[in-house]
Amino acid sequence: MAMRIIRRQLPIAITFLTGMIFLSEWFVTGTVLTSFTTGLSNFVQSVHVFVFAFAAINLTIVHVGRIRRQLRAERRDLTEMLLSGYLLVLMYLVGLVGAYYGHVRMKIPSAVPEYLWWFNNWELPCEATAYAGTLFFVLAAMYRVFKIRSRETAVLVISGIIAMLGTTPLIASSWQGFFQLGEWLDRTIVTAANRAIMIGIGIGTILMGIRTLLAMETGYLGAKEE
Amino acid sequence: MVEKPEVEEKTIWHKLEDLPVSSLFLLVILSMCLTTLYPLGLPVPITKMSKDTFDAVNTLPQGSYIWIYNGYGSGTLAVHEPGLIVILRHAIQKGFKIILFSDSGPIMLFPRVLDAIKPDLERAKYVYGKDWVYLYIPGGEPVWATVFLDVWSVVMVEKDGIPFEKLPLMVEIKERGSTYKSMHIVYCQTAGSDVVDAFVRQVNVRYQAVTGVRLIFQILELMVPPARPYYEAGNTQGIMNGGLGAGEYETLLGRPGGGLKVTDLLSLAQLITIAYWAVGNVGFMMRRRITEQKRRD
Repeated sequence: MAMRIIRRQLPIAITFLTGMIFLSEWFVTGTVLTSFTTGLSNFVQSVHVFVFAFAAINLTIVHVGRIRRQLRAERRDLTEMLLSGYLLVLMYLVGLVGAYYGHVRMKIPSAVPEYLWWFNNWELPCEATAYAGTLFFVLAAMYRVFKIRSRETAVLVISGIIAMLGTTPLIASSWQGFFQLGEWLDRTIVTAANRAIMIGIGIGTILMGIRTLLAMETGYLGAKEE
Repeated sequence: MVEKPEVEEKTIWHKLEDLPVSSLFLLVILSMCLTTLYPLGLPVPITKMSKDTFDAVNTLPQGSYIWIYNGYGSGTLAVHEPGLIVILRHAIQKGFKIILFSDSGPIMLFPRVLDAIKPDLERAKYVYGKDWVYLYIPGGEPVWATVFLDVWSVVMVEKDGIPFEKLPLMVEIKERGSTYKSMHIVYCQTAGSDVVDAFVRQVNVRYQAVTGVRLIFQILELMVPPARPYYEAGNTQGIMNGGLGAGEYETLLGRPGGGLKVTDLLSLAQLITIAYWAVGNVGFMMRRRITEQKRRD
């Protein structure tokens, strides 16, 4: 019984109270409610920063575990893991040593040029490449899927082509027709469709919020114990 | 005995329908390399949405406060960085007080932006802490809600740990009362749709009726259709449509930069894609016609 109160009733009560306070603060500002929401926002901020430390520790544990498993395996493939593990440790050290010299010794807050060098020359190109890689998926999908197989697909393909031609500066600058047609499609057809979707999502979100506040939706507490 | 299915004879239409995708990739990469090395400098047509974004900034008087949330990462750098540079140039040109805020990732990317706007800052004699400031504010919507109400209650130092008391701009904001009173325009750069919704809720819905604060976005091209209803309804005064929007803004400001390079890249790459699409469809339709004719015969 006591466990049930701690595991289910208490979180539900906290959710309800917090939700009601945030909801009320929206309408009545500058009261004790505002102080409460401010305090909670500061707490969220602290938690957010703590998450980075937690993620770093978690990543280290996962990597060490995987490397140990690989060492026991017959066919070892450690390249990827050692490289990422090495970079993880290296970035820890660069960050810590740089922060010590920059912040403590030189009295220059957060001035860690070494860390920035590693960020600019490793993280930045890798992430940009990973993101840019999606271009090829989109290109391949467009070439393979955009085939006029029926009347419906014809509408989709033609509107897609108009939108593309309208946003191609070479075409749009020589003839304004596609540009204007693309604008019309965006303003009229696309906006109308998206508005309907947004209204649906909005109503759904409100209902979900009410259900959560009234403890009718308890999915965030995990599986229900029988 | 199982009858073997009739094997369709490969014609030129089959080949056109199934052109190797690798050749399309190669052509697109080549076109991008060429336009990067030899920019075409094509004129960019200005959309109403971009013009409105520009006007939202341009019609504000000197000394207005612009809050810039740059929530982008390395992945969307090519799109968002020109957008941030051009807005900062415009804000400096207009003599605005600039308050930048973000999570940790964009702070790491900011030195690149700072290099680009350094001449503008020097020309306008902008002093860090007095005319512009950069705040490190992690967290999400609940934190932004409190920041716009009272930034001093959430953070006390700027991104490098300098206390607000030593920054005249932050002291000035405190003296003006609630933070939203020092918020004339908010520019939000993001690659997440939830952030768009959050800023509409926390800036437009909450304060536009009170202070007339303007809200503008720079989002990825694929995020524009879902955000468009906000623009049409007046919740946001303008949307910069990814790299293309940044290019249009640069044209309006008369300061060509990274955005216009993106529009050049788009020109050739999109034309090649459309050409491939057209060839593929001709092949597909001709092949289907021949197959149907054969079946009828």
